[in-house]
Amino acid sequence: MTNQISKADPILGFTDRITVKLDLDNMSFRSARYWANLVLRKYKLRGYIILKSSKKCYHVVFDRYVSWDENLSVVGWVAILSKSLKLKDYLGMQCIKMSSTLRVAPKGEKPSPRIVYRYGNQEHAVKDFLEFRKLIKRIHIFSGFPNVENQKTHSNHNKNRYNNSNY
Amino acid sequence: MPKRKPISKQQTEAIRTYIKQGYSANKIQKKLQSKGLGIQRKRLLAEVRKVKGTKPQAYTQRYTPKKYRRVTPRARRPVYSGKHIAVYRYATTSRYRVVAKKLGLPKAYSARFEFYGNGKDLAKAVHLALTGIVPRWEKPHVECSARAFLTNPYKYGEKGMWVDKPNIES
Repeated sequence: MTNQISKADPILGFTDRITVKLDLDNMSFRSARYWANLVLRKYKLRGYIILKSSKKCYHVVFDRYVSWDENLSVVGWVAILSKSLKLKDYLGMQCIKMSSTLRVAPKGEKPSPRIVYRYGNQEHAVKDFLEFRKLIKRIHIFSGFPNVENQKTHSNHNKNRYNNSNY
Repeated sequence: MPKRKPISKQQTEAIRTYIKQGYSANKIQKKLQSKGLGIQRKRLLAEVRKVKGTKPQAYTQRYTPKKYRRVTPRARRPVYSGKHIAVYRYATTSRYRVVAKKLGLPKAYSARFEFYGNGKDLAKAVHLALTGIVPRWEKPHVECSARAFLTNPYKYGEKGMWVDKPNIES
């Protein structure tokens, strides 16, 4: 057995126990929105935002603060019904760490998640999440992460995609 | 603030006589004003209560319309609001690599710091973690305040480096 390691910057994320957060990997935008709407209605979570973290990967943050038990219940419900193995892994990690985390800063070649959709109320958990996200982004820029300038943005990513293809 | 004149003997006597006659506070005030013995409303009411031996009403805000009620200032949000910055990835240290070699473990372990505190402390703590302080492999998930981490970083971690997920080929 051989294992190789290469140096990398740590990732910055947002962590808490009272905000409902979903990490929907390997899912189209439509199905991410479908699951977000379904959860919103079932658990009366008031509103949500969807962030695109990379191709076919979305993060959802809901507006109503909940207890840790309810948080796990919501994520577990979506994980079981959507049959998403990645979301089940995410739920398992939440249980181990006793808190849920969403990435905010860039990770390797992936840019930082950007907001692609908003729905309903945005005054409580969503507002606080966005404030904290701003703080983390500022810390990421000013704390001297070596590869900040070379990191991709979504717009650069799309530009490169169109340049490479025959548009 | 200028000191107010104490209530004169004339005023107190007049108030007592009017109370004996069964006058209300409003009527007493008007009578005093007409006699040139005007008195501040607040002091008059206090004097009337003193003579009658009654206590002031409790929770007078109840009688004030909601829009005019005095609002207590909002409590400041505490620094510990339950929201943390997570600094996470795989990490490795020289001490861990020796153990990993002996036990045949992967060369890196999943590690994370969870910091809370004010913005300045958080920025400094993240910067310090970036310079090469990683959580110990015995306790890879560390939750602490940014200020505590800044004062004593080696209590929560040790020298090492952040690495990518190790590629394991068997």
